[in-house]
Amino acid sequence: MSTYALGRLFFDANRDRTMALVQRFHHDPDVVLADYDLTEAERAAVLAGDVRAVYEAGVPPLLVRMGAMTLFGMRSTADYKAAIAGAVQATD
Amino acid sequence: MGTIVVAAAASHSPGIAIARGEPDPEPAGRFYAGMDRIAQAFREAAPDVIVTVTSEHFANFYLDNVPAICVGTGRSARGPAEVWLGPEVDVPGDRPTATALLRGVMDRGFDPAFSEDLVLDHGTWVPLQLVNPGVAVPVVPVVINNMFEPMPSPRRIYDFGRALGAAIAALPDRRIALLATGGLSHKVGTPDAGDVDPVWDHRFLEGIAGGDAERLAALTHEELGGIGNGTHEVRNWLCVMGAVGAVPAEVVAYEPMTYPSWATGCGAVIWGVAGTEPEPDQRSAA
Repeated sequence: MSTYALGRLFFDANRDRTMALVQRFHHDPDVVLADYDLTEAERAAVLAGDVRAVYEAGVPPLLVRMGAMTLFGMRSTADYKAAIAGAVQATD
Repeated sequence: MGTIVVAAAASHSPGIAIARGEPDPEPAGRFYAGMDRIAQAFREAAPDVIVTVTSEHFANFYLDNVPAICVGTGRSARGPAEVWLGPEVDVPGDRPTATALLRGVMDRGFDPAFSEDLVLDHGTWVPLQLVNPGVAVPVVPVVINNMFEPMPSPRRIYDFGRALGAAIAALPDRRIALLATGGLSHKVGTPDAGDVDPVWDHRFLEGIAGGDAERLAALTHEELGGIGNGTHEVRNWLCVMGAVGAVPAEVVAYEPMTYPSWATGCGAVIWGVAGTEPEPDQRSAA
C-alpha cells in the first residue's frame, strides 16, 4: 500500500474544524474517497473502519489515532489500542 | 538590544487542558502549580512578544511540504486547531520581530521556511493559554519538525537555538519571552502508547537544569525514538537551551503521567535568564 494518499485523507479530515469533509464522508463515502488516489485495499480499509490496516500501511501513528477518532468515531483510547495491539508498521 | 527576559519549557499533552486532574488530581495539581510558576514569571517579566518553539501535529504540514523549521511571520495566527480546545481565535503576531529574527538566523547559517498563515494546535495552545491567558501578548510561533522523518538532528536544533539567541540580541530594544513546548517521554498512536520513562526524563531534566548543553545536543534521533516517538519533541527544549546560553534552569514540575492519565512524562522548567548577558554573536561567515 502507498500511504501518501491514505494519510492525506486522514490529514484533510482531521484539520477541518467545520467537520464538513467528515460529514460528507459519512453521508457518501464513495464520493469523498474518489478524490484520493487510493488502492482498492486502502479504499476497503477506510470503508471498513479498519484502523489496524491503516496503521500497518505506515501512515504516521499519531495521524492514524487522530483519524480514527475523526473519521471512524473511535474516541476510546482503549478501543484504539486494542485494535492495533501487536501491529507493526510497514516501512519503505 | 533585544533581551530574553524569561524562558521556559513545558509539556503540551492535551490532557493538561481537557483531562484536568483525571484520574488522580494530586500529580496534576503539582504540574499545574509548576505552570503557575511559569505564568507568574511571564507576568513579572512583562515581555513584548512570546516566541514559542513547538511541534505541530498535522495542523499545518503534511508530506507534500515539510519544513524542518518554520517561523510564523503573519500579523496573526489562528488557534486552537482542535475543536475540543475551544473556539478559534486570532492570536496576534509580531511581524517586525518575526521578520527580524528570520533574517537574523538566516545571517547565521540557517534557512527556515516561513509562513504568514500558521494554525496553532495543542502543541502551542496548551502551554500558551496557561502562561499567556487570552493571548494578550503577541506570539511569534516557531515550528520544528518532530513528526515526519527525516527530522533535523537535536544538534541542529540546538545550534538553531544559538543562532536564534544571537538574532534576539541583535534586535532593537525588545523584551522577548521564549517558551518551548513538548515532551518529555511519550509514545503516540502506537500499540504501547501511554508508557513513559521517568528515568530518562529525570536524566534529561538534570541536563537542562545543569546547562549540560553538550550532552543533550549529542542526543541521537535513534535514542529519542527508542524512548517514544513523541520524545522527539524535546528538540524544542534544546532550541531554547541554545538561545539562552549557559544558564541553569529550575525544574518546577515533573510528573510521570502514564496512561490512562495524560500519557506523557510531563515536565516544566524556567531558565534563570534574568540579569544574564547574551551569548557572543554566532554570525556565520557563510
